[in-house]
Amino acid sequence: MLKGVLGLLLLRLLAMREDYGYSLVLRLQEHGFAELSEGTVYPALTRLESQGLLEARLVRSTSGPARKYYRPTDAGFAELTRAGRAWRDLSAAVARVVDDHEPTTELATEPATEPATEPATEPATERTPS
Amino acid sequence: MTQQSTGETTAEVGLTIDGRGDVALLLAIALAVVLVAVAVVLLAARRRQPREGSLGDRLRLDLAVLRYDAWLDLRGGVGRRRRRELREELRANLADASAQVGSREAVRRLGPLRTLAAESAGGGRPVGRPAWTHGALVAGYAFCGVLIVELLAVMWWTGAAHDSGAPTVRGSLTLFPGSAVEYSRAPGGMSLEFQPGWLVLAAAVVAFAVASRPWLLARRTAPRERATP
Repeated sequence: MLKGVLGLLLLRLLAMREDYGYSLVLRLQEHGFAELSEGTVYPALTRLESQGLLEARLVRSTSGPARKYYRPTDAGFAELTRAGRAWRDLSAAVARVVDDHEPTTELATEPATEPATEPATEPATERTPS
Repeated sequence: MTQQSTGETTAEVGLTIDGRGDVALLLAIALAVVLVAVAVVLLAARRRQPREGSLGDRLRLDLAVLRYDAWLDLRGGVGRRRRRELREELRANLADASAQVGSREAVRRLGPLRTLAAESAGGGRPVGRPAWTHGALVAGYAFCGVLIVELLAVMWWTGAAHDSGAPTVRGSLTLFPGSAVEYSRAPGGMSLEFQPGWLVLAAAVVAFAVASRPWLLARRTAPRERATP
């Protein structure tokens, strides 16, 4: 499921401020995605860029190689709005199912309503003594 | 030092060396070439990663980037410019990660570099076409590289043969199957005949096969074959 929402997370973080790969990994980890590794985030960034949702620019660094900073394009912002709405809908639907059906320790003794059975298609035959 | 054909077999190369000074000169030149190559690699690594980190750290990161690039190349479908961009981006990210968690951990967190390359290239089946020209170029490098190493080995062998004092010494190079070397004393110098064997050619063929990626040809035709009833 995380893979499905990773694009949304990245777009959201980059909408807040442009950033580069490793820094985004750290920001995601600070937000609770501790298990998220660089090997997952970097290809996701590349994918979003290939889809035209992100644009990038190189920024020289005094302490190492030039960093590639990403920010959402117009299409990226539109995708962020759409994906954000979809996520909220999904989250609300999941919450309804989880919250409205609190698990109980007792097993239900009676089965749920039986599905309506179709009447027998064959007419009942009367048994006649032979 | 002069070079001449023996005239007996076209595959053979006769090499007449006028004295041990030439052997030393050849060795010195070869050593200088190797040293310059190592210096260039180290300087390039230092230029790319000028900040803290030992030589081992820089080499580990460079090796990871090279492996990533190799998988991108082998997979195909990624242009040279795009590959360079991906390579440089990974290098910058690795440099930052290495400064925080160390080079070993930084590389470990990337996961399998083959997977990373495949996903960075867009996932799915490899695309692209075989790169015959690139394959030929790499094959040429492999051919020359192996031949240079073999020539260095011949120089060492010649030194030993010369020191033995025997008028004629025949032998082969252990690590180069099919090779043959014959040393003879000649008036005022020595004569050396050398056959490189098949390893040089084999290295070139393997390099061509790997670098040109002929399997992409089969993968490009596979979907069409399946589509036809």
